[in-house]
Amino acid sequence: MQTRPLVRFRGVNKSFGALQANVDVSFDLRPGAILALLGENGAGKSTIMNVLAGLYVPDSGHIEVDGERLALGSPRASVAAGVGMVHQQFRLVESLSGFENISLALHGGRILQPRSADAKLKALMEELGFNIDLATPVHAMSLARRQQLEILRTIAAGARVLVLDEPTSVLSAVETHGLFAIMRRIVASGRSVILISHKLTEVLEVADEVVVMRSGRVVHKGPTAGADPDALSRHIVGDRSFVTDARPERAAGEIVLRVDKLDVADHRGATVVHGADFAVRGGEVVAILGVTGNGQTELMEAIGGLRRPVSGQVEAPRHNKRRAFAYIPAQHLGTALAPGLVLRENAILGHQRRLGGRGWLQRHVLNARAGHVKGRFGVRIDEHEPVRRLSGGNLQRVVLGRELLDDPSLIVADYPTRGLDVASAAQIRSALVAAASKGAGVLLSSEEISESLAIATRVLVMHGGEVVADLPAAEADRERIGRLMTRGREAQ
Amino acid sequence: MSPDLLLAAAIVAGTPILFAALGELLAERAGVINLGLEGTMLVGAVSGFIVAAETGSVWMGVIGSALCGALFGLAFAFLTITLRMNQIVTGLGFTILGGGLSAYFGSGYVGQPLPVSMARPDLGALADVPFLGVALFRHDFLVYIVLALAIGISFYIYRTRQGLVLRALGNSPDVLDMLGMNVTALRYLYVGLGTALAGIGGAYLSLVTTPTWIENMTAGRGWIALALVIFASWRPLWLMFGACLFGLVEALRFRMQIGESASAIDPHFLSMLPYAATVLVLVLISGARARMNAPVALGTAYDRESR
Repeated sequence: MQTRPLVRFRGVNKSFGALQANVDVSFDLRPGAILALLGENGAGKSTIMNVLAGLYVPDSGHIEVDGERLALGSPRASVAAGVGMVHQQFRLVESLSGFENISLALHGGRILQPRSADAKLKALMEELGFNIDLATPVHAMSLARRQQLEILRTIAAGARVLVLDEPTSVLSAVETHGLFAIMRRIVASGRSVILISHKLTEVLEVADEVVVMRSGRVVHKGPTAGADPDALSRHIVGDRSFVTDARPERAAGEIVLRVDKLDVADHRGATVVHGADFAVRGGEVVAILGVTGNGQTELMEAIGGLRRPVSGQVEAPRHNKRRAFAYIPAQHLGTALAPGLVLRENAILGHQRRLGGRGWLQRHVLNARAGHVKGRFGVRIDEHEPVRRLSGGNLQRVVLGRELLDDPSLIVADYPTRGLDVASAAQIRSALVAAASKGAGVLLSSEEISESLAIATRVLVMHGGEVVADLPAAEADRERIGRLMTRGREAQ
Repeated sequence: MSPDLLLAAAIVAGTPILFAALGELLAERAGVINLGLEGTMLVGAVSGFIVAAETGSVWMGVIGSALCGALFGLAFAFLTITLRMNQIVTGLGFTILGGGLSAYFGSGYVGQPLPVSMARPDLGALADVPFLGVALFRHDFLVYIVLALAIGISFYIYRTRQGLVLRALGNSPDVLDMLGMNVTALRYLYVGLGTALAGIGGAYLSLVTTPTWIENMTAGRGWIALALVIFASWRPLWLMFGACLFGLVEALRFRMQIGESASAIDPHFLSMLPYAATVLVLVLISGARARMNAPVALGTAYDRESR
């Protein structure tokens, strides 16, 4: 069946400084289709969609919607043409209620502000299967709810092309399936969805067509029906190999981290970690597994020194009372990295005293260090741009590159592969395994069982703030760990 | 001194502060912090006085002060919104600039009396109500205008469509931009409106309170208004009470220096009271709750391509 495409991208180019984010990007979107835009972090997927949404002005090329040329660089024109985008970082006003956020997009001509949803909006919520309490302020909503709210707002505002930027990265498995059902209902009414993703499995599950991007270029287009997953992964990563090293074989060495009866409270003051008590030895890779919100993040923050424990002790390598081990927090910008500083400056954060031994920082030392950090995991950035311009995956690479630089004896990493594509995740796992084989102790938290089992020598399972199991990885099986993660001690 | 007269004096003393504070509230709700408020009031004071003296009409003076205040504010808006200069530094610069400009243009008018005065509405029987008549119902038009404005702005912010947009503007300009609204134009609008109000606040001093032009006659009221906006957690109705409170401190200071109630306290100490009260208020309310209400994007220029 040959229908006219709803959206056509024609030779779009966009660069940021010296970085070419999009090179000659051309593809079509059919009405009623779910199209997956697949690629690694930093492949240019979000950039081309921001061009479609009118947020970025391309250097050249054009976009047609319904055969009409879209006025580029104007969000208003894009909205009017029926393009709606749900960004990875939600564009919601947190201090306003759900309804007020939707109303911002709808009631342009009104003078008085309506106070609650009208019948049309309620009918749309019904059609899409949403059950959102619109009177709640956004800051009190869960991430999944906020995402539904954005989708609802976008469609209520008349979007026929819904762009979802990495929508599943904030969702649990159950919520992800809920979202896929929503996407199918959306396209059933003749609208189209563009799904930006780097997860091959979910793309094959929900999308009709796939466009693969790599280094700013479109490298593959085709239907997902009958697509070969291995061929697609090759398109995504190119000719690089991405095999994770196996777990270290070395016998465990000295204790490098001792956590002693640790109780930790969250930001509201509720105790969320109860009596954590374990040790990590050199040469070990210890994985903490747990469903999000079971105290792992708070435990890692207490070990890293971001959070003062309620009681108990953490013994870890220190130098002049300062942290002398690698710590990769869950949140990068503002915690591990200074968003407004360039890479070279971020590369020495935490080491500035030692490197500035003579009282000042030497340019060649800084440049050498920045080169190592950049080269270690292959960060693509214009040297003079502040790091806040980097994509999530690149931020992760910068933090890891810096923290692993001086061969630390202990590495504490809070879900270091979160949101990363297959190749980058493998690269980072390999780096952690390599560090452990050289004698470092590694403690990482993760939600992915198979990833953890592949590299860990020992697995700690957290549930309800307690470490409910401490198993050698060789004896642990997925099913048992899954039960422990979801049901805690009663699963034993 | 009788309490009804004292309350009346407090309201009059609070009026210029309330004008300026309402103006600042609009700008800050839009995400622009204008530390040049003191300078804007001075520009309003001198232009209001000059226009009133030359045309012989106080109302022309009020309009002139609003226009000159807005013009001064739009220059500030151009630097901070279009050129994205640092709002704090630019604001401080505009305080100094306003002081200098007003002294320059007002040099020929210093100390001259104003031949005309602001009219007072005749509220009939209300003005004769015991206590309240003197305290509330014998003021000039601008007092009632500013009170109506405070209530009107409160209604605007919380009940109208454009008010909702204003609340979003200071918190998440990126959301409005994505929805196709013009963040830059909206910010220009609110800074312009806000500085027009601050200009009228200054003109109230040179047309009603004193009525004459003296260099630096605002004497820190712009800064008090700035503190008041924080004190009120960006809520217009609270501004009304805050302005009365500061007016009361100022009225007390004045009354304690003259007549039979003159006290033995050093007048310089008394003159310090409004400023000491400002510091005290800021310390008392700088808790978590006040910060919670602050517009998130306050003080940051909006740049679409920066994340």
